[in-house]
Amino acid sequence: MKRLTLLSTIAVATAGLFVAVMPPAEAQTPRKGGVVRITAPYASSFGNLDPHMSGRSQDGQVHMTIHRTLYIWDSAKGEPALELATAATASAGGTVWTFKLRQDAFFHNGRKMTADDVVWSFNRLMESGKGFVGARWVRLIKGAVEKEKGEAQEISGMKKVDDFTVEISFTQKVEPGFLFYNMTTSILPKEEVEKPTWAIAPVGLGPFKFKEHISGSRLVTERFDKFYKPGLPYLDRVEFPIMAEASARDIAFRNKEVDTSILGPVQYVAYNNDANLKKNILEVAEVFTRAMVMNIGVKPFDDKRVRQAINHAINTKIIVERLARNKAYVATSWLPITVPGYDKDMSPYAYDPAKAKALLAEAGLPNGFEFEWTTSQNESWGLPIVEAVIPMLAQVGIKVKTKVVEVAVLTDLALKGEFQAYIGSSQTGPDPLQTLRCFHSATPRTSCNVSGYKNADFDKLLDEAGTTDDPAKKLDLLKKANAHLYDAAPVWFFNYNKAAMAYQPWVHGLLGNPTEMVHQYPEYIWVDATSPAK
Amino acid sequence: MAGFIIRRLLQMVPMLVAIALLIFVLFSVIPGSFATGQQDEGLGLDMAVVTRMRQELGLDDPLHVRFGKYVAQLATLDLGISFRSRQPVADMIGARMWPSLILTAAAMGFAIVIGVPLGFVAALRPGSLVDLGLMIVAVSGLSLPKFWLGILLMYLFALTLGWFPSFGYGDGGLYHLTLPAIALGVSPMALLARTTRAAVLDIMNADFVRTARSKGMNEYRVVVWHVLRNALVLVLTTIGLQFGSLLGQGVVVEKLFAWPGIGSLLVDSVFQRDIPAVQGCILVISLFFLVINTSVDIAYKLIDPRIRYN
Amino acid sequence: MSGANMPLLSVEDLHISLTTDAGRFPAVEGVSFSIARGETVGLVGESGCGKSITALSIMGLLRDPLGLAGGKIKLSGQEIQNLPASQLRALRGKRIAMIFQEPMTALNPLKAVGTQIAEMFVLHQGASWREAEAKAVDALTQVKVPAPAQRAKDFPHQLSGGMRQRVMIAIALACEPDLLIADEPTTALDVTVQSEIVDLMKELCAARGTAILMISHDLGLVTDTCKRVCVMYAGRIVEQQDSERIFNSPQHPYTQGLVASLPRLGMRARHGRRRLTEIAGVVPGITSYPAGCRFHPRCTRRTEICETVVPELTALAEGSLVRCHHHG
Repeated sequence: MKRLTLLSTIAVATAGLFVAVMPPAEAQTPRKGGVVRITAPYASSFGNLDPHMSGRSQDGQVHMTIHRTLYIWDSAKGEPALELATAATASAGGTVWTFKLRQDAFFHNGRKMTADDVVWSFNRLMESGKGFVGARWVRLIKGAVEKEKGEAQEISGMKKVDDFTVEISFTQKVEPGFLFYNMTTSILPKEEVEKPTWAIAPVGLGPFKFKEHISGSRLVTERFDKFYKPGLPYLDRVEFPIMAEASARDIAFRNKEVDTSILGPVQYVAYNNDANLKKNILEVAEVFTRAMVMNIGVKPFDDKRVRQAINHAINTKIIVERLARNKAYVATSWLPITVPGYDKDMSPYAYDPAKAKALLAEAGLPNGFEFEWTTSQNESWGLPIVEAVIPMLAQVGIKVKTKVVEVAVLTDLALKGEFQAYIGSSQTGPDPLQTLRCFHSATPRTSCNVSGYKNADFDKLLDEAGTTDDPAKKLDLLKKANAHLYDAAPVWFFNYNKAAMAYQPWVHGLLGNPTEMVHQYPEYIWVDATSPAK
Repeated sequence: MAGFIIRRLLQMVPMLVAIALLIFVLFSVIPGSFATGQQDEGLGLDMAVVTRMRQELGLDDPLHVRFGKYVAQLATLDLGISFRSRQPVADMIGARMWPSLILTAAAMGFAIVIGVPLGFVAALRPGSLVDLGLMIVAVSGLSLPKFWLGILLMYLFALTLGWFPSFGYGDGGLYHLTLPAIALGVSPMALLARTTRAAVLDIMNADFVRTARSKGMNEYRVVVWHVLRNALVLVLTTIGLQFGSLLGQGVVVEKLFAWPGIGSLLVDSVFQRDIPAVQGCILVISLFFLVINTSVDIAYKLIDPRIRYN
Repeated sequence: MSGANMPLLSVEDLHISLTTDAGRFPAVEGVSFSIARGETVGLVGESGCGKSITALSIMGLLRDPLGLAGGKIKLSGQEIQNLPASQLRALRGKRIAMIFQEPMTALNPLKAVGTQIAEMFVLHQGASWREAEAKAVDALTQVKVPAPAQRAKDFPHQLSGGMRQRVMIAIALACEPDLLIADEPTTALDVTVQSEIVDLMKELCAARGTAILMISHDLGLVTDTCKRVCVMYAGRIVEQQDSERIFNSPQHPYTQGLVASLPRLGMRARHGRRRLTEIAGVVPGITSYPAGCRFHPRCTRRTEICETVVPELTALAEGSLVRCHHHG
C-alpha cells in the first residue's frame, strides 16, 4: 500500500498558497512535434553534463531533460511524486523503504532499466576519492559512509530484491522523496558511464536524448521515442540557447528567437507594463530566502535584542517595492510561503526605528555600533540592497562598512565564519525540516549553520519533529520552530524570491516549479502551430 | 627563415612556464576555491563532498608538487583535466578555437576594411571637415563600450530591422557572425584609422613623395604608387598587435551573443576557479599572440626589402 | 626678343613668402635670372639663403607655409607660375626635371630602382610597364651604372650613394627635359664620387641639349660646372657673373669672402702657410633679416647707407650684376 508522504495532505492546502499564475486551462489539444527553445540564463556555459557531478541550477535544466530519478517534483501538488519508482513502502519506523521500479523505462541506448542500475548508480555516488555532489543525498543510506571512506566495497544498505525491486535501509527516518527528486541522484547506465565519451555525450532515461552541445552557445536534445510516459514527449526537440546576459535575452525574446526568458527585476517591470508581454508571465514563489545572516559569535550580534533591532530598523517593505520591484515577497521568518510550516498569520517585523533604538539602548548600545557587511554585486541580494539599507541603519545609530566580494568568495568566507554579517540567498525548501536544521546547534557552520546559532529549545523542537510520526504534530512543531526563529532573529529577514519567467504565446505546458523555475519537466511542454522555430 | 621561426618558438617556452607558475601562485592566494562553487546553489555545502572533490582533483597537494606535475604534463602537450567538466582541457579549448578564430578574423577584417581607408581619406585631407568627421568617428569607436555597442547592434539590426539574429553561433556562418564581429571590430577599427592617418601623413611629407610629385604624377598616382604600400607597412605592426590581443578580448562580445569563444571560457573558468582550464586558456592565448607577432615579423621580412636583404 | 634668343627659363622679380603664426616673412625677394637653352647656370649661397626654395618654386612644388608672393616664371616665354595644377604637372618630368640632395630618401625604399625609373616612361610616354622597364635598363646604361639589368632590380638601400644619384639622374633625364634643376646633387656624396657625378651630368645634358640649373653652397663646384653663377644671400641675388671672372674678380663683398675662404691648389706656395679666411658673423634667419643691405652686419665695407637703403642690382661690364653700395 502506498503510504502517503506526510506532507501530501498539507501540500494540497499549501498549493493554494502558491502565488502562481498558472497557464490557463488548456482547451487545445497538445500538438505533437515542434521545437522549444528554453534559455539557460544563469551562466555562460554548462558545467558538467554528468548529473552526479554538478548541482548547479543551470546544469539541472539539461539533466532534467536527459535523465530521470526515482522521484520528481510535482509542482501542481507541491511535493515529490514517484517517477522511476512506481511504489514506495516504508517499514521499520520509516528507516527501511522498499521501492518497486518501472518495468518500461529504457535508456537511450535501448537497454531496459533494472534494479541493478539503481544499486550501481547510488554506489557510484559514494565512490571513495571522487567528489560526486549527489553523495549528500545518498549518504543517509546505511553503509554509505563506510563506502565513502573506502572501508567497504558496496553500500550495505542497498539490496536488490529482484530485477525491479530495491530495498534501501537508511541510518535515520527519512522521506525519500525529498532526497531522490534531486537530479544529482539520477539513475545512470553503467556501460555508458564507463565510456570515454560519457562526459560529452550523456545517455539517460529522460524523455529527450542528447544531440549536440556547442559549449558556451547551445545544447540540443531530441525526442526519445521509447520514453515510458505514453504519448510523451510532445516536442521533437528541446534546445537550450545559453544566454546569461539579461538584456541580450530580452532582445532575443522580443525578437521571437527564444521561447522563454527568466526576468530580472528591471525586465519584470518592463514586461508587466507591456500589454502583450504581460499576458505570458509565469510567476512562482520560489523556495529561496534572502537574508542578512549575522555571525552570532561576533559581538554585539550575540544579543537577541540587537538582532531584533536591526529587523525593526529596516523598512523591508519599501526595499522590496522599490529595489526588487515587487518581484519578491517580504519575508516572515525563515520558511518561505510555499513550504509547510509557513504561517500566513504571522506578520513581518514592523518598520519601527523608535523601537529599534529602544532595543539597542536596552542592549547597552544607546549610541549604536559599527559592523562590517560582506556582500556580492548581485542586483537582487547584494550591493544595491546594502546601499539602500545603510541609511536606514544609520538612522538608529548603526554604522556599516561594506566589503564587496565575488559570490564564490562570499561562500568561502561564510563557511569559514570569516564575516560579521553577510547578505545572500539560501534555498529554504522544499523540505522544511531539513531547512530548519540549518539552525540546529549540531549542524556545523560548513554544512549550513552559517550564523552559528545555538539554542537548546530550538533543538528540542526540531528533534521532536524529526522523530514524530504524526504529520499534524510535525507540522505544528515546525511552525513553532519557525516562530522561534522569527523571535530569535539570527538574520535580517529580507524576502522570498518570486521567480518570473516570460514565455511566448505558443508555448504550453510550463509549470511553476518553486524549487527552481528553470527546472521544467519537458515532456509536458508543447508548442502550437504558431511557433516559428523549426 | 626557418631558423628564425624556431628560435622565436623556443624563446616562448620559458615565458609560458613563467606564466603557468604565476597563475598557480595567484590561484593559491586568492580566496574562493573550486570545490565550494560546485554544489547546489544556496543549499549550503556538504563538506564531505568538498573534501573528496579536493582529493580527487589534487587540490591539497603542496604547490611545488602540483606545479611540477603540471610542467611535466605540459612537456607532453597535455593541458590537464578541467575541474568542472572532468574533460581534457585541450578538448574544451579545441572546441572553442575555431569560433574564436573566425570571430577574431572577422572583427579584424572589418577593422582593416573600414579603418585603413578611413585613415587614408582623413590623411589626404588633413584639417578638413572630412578629416575631423572621420576622426570623431574613430575616437568614438575607441571609447564606446563593447557591451553597449553590442546591445545597440542587436536592437537595431536584429530586433528592429530583422537582418541578423540577435545571438547564437548557428553554423558559424556570416549570418550569425556579422553582429558580434562588428561589435568586436569597432575598437581596433578606430585604432587602425588613427594609425593609418598618422602613417600616411608622415609619408606624405617624405622626400620620395616629393620626388614622385616632381616626376609629374597626379595626386592619385602619388598615393597609389608610392604612399599606399609604404603606409601599409607602417600599419602592419598595429594590425598584428591588435589581432594578437583580440583573441582574448572577445569575452564581453562572446557572452552577449552566446558566441562559444575562448574568452568567455577563460572568464568562466576564473570565476569557478577551474585552474587547469584557466591555465590552458591563457597559454593558448599567449601562444596565439606569439604566433601572430612572429607572422608579422616574417611579413615584414618579406615586404620590406631593407629588412629582407640585410 | 626673337624666338632663337628667347631664354628657356626666365625668372623675373620672384618673391616667395613664409607664413607663420607670427606673420608673413619674405623668404626670397626680387630674384631674377634667366637660363638660355642648353646653358648651365649655378645658384650659390649658404644654407637658408633661399636657393632651394627658388628651385622648388620653378617646379611648382612649394607647399605651405611657403608660397609664391609675386613675380613671374616663364618657360620658353610662357608664364607658368599661375598655371593650374594639371598643366603644371604636364611640365614636370617632361620639360623640367629635378634631382635632390639626398638620393637615399628621395627614392622610395620599397620599390626597385628600375621600376622608379620606368615610371617616367609610363607617365609621359604612355609606355607599357614591360617596355618601360626595358627602357629603364637602357637609362641605367646611359648613366654608366655597371650591370644595369641586375641593378634595375635592386632597391635603393642596396646601392651606394653615387649609384643612387645616378639613378636619380636617370629618372630626371628619362624623358629628355629642357631643363634639369640639380639641388645640391653632390653634397651628400663622397668627394671622389662628386666629380664623377658632375661630369656625368654635364655630359648627358650636353648631349641632349638640356639646360642645367645647378644649386650648391660650393662655389668651387659651381664655377667648375656652370657658365654663369648667381650668388644669393638672405633671399636676394647679390651678384651674377660668368664663372671664369667671378673667381678672379668677385665684386660683392660676400662673394669675395666666399672666394677667399676656399682652399685652392698652390695657395700655400703663393701665400705661405696661413689660415683660411672666414666671413665673420652668421647668416640671418628668415624672420630676422636686417634692414637695408642684408649683408651689412657682416660686411667690412659697411657704411651708414648700407644699414638703411637696399642696394639695387647694378649692371657691370659684360653682363655682370652686383647688388652693393660699395662693390668692386
